[in-house]
Amino acid sequence: MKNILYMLTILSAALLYACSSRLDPVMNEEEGSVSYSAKESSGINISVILHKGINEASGNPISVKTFMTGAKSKVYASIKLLNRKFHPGEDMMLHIDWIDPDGNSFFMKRTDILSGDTTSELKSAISVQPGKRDTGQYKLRVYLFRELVAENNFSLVSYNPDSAAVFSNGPVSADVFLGSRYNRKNVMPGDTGSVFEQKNKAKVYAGIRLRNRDALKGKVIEGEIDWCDEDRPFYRKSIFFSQHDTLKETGSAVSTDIKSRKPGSYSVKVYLYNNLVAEKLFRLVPEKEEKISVGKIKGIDADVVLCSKFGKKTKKAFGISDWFTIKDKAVVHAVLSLVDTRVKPAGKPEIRMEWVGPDKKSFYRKRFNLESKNITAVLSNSISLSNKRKPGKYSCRVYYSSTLICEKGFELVASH
Amino acid sequence: MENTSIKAKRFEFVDQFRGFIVILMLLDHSSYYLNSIWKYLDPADPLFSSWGQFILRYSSYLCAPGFLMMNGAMVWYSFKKRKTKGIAEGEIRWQMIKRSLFLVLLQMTWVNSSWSGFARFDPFHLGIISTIGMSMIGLSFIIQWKWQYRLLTGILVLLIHPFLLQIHYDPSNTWQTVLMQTFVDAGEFNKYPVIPWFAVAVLGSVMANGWLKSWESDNKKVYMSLLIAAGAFLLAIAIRFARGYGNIFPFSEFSSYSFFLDQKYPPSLYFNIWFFASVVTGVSILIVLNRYISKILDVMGIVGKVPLFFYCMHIALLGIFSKRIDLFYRIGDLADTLTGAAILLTVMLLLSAWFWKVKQKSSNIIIKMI
Repeated sequence: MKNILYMLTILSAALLYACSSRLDPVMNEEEGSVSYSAKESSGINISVILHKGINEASGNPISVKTFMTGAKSKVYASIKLLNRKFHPGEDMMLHIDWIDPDGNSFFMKRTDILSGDTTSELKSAISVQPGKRDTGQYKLRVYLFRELVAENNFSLVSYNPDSAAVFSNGPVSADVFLGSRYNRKNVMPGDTGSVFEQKNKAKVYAGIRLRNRDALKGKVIEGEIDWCDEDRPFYRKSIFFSQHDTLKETGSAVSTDIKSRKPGSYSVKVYLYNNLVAEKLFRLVPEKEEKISVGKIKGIDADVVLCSKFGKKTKKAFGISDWFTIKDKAVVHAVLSLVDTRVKPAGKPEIRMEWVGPDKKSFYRKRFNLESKNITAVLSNSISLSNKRKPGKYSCRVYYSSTLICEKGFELVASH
Repeated sequence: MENTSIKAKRFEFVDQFRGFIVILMLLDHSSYYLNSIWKYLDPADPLFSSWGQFILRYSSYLCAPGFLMMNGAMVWYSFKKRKTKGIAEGEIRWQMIKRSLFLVLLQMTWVNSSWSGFARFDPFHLGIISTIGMSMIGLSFIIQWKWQYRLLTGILVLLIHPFLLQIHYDPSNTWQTVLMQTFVDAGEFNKYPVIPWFAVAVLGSVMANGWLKSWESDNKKVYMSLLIAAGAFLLAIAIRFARGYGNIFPFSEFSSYSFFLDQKYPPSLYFNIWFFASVVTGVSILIVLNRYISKILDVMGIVGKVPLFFYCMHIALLGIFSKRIDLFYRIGDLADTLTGAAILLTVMLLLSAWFWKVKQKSSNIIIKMI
């Protein structure tokens, strides 16, 4: 009888303890969001983007954290189901809950994704008309199979149409400074200019300095910095100074790498109480590629193949390809076949094999000293494809002394 | 022979199990009034932000099946006992119907109004107490059947209910709503439709054959109950994994919240079979625990002897103090809810012990029925 009791207790405890399919919540203070990741690496995770519409040019949502009330204004939520591809043919039940500043739910939407439906993004929206919604801190919560999986916050501030009264002490304008370098000391950027190269992970920083700040002394300053692509805003940041603030500078930044922006003309617009007070144009241009030309040395014939396996004794390459998958314990070999029919120079000639990553920087090199009597040689070198490698375009370059004699490009792709 | 084997005493494990489920119910109702999550979530269609909140709500899912099964068991026992005394079947049935109608009346008057702390008289909807009453009326007509026929009836009704849920009705049409929500579906008018819960009560009356008569030793009660529970659990799991007939909400994977949490209002077939098994297991555990911690279980027995009184009083206290006077109404967290529940339980234990003494001495028909 006692054994039965123990068995039932252990069984019930085990079942109940294993109930949650989520890890402890992770808070992103910058975004004001909380996410509860799946315990399994292939489990469904949810990403929530709050935005005020879609940028027609880029197709990306105009993501903001502060929204203004308005007769036609809405807060949109784009809810993406990550890892959806690992769950084909599975039913999903989601609840999207909008919560007001008093903690009350004012709009709950249940969505069932049935098997066969490949939907990986849900949309929801609320109107934020003055009088219908109070200003304050709102929340959006997303539940998957009744379990909280993501939470995002946003502020709703009131639209102040009576801007004339605010500017009664004189006109207020602003200077906009654009630069490619972040200044740690203040918000004014370094390397200022109006043309920026779209380097990897590069950003354009905007520093805004208010003119005639004293005209707004003792007043709450509300406004927006709009980053625009052909006059359509793709990112908006709120400006907010309380009545006790004496600051007159603020800043914002957007990434400019080629993956997120197209080359072309852009602008930064600064609004205070919905009045345009400053604007600055800038241009994004593709990064100038470092041109490396492959030279020829008369009498030397070199060829590189890339493969996943290489027999050092047999000198045979297996799994020859120009793309490889990133995974633990995998490697890519570069096999250089060299024929040198020249009358040999004095000394031992040096061959250098160099591996170049997606950032165009060399990350590994290997030197070989050839015996001067050799006419032919097969040299190999390899790099690991562990998870420390990033997906992208790589290449292996071969230098004879300091002359590039051969280059072979390849691509690394993620395992999923 | 059949009649003489029925013991003329209170069955401690029945009182204790009823006590256990009313305490779970008190915990859930304390959460309903004190827990801030119900400010923005619907307890009838719950979502969960933590494991603790899940357990708090989910544990009370045992209450309705537990109530109905224990009611079915006691209807069977009461019928047999009265028949042994030589009372005619028609007379016994009439006594049961009178008690049932009293429960329906109690629901529409005291219980409905007590939810708001008697701030308003709200007679025009039904609930768990009226459903127990109406199930008793149904049971009174079949309680004399052999357990095999009652088992078949209970199972058939459970199997048919998912098909009845396919009946479309117009929620703006009053008589359609009243008819459907009284018997089949759940909604504002009634969260506990009679048909599926009647089936659960019938299964309770079947289990009473074993618990209160045939399985004389505690060991036999436990082993047979666990065997039946294991079969029912396996059947419920098979229905859940099939994901079709008998399920209402989808689930992600075995042992996730969603696996256990199918629809309660109205219950799915999976829900009813799973909780039938849970109630049978719970009764077995109490019988076993009685050997080791009988003194502690006697505390549950105190409230289990007067479950209706307990139900009516604890909601009234919560309704008056929390909702009407607005004392901690939906502002607390999990710990606050548990603290509130502990205080209320202490009060209810004292009140229940007092009322049990009053009930034993009283000849008042109303007090006897509470």
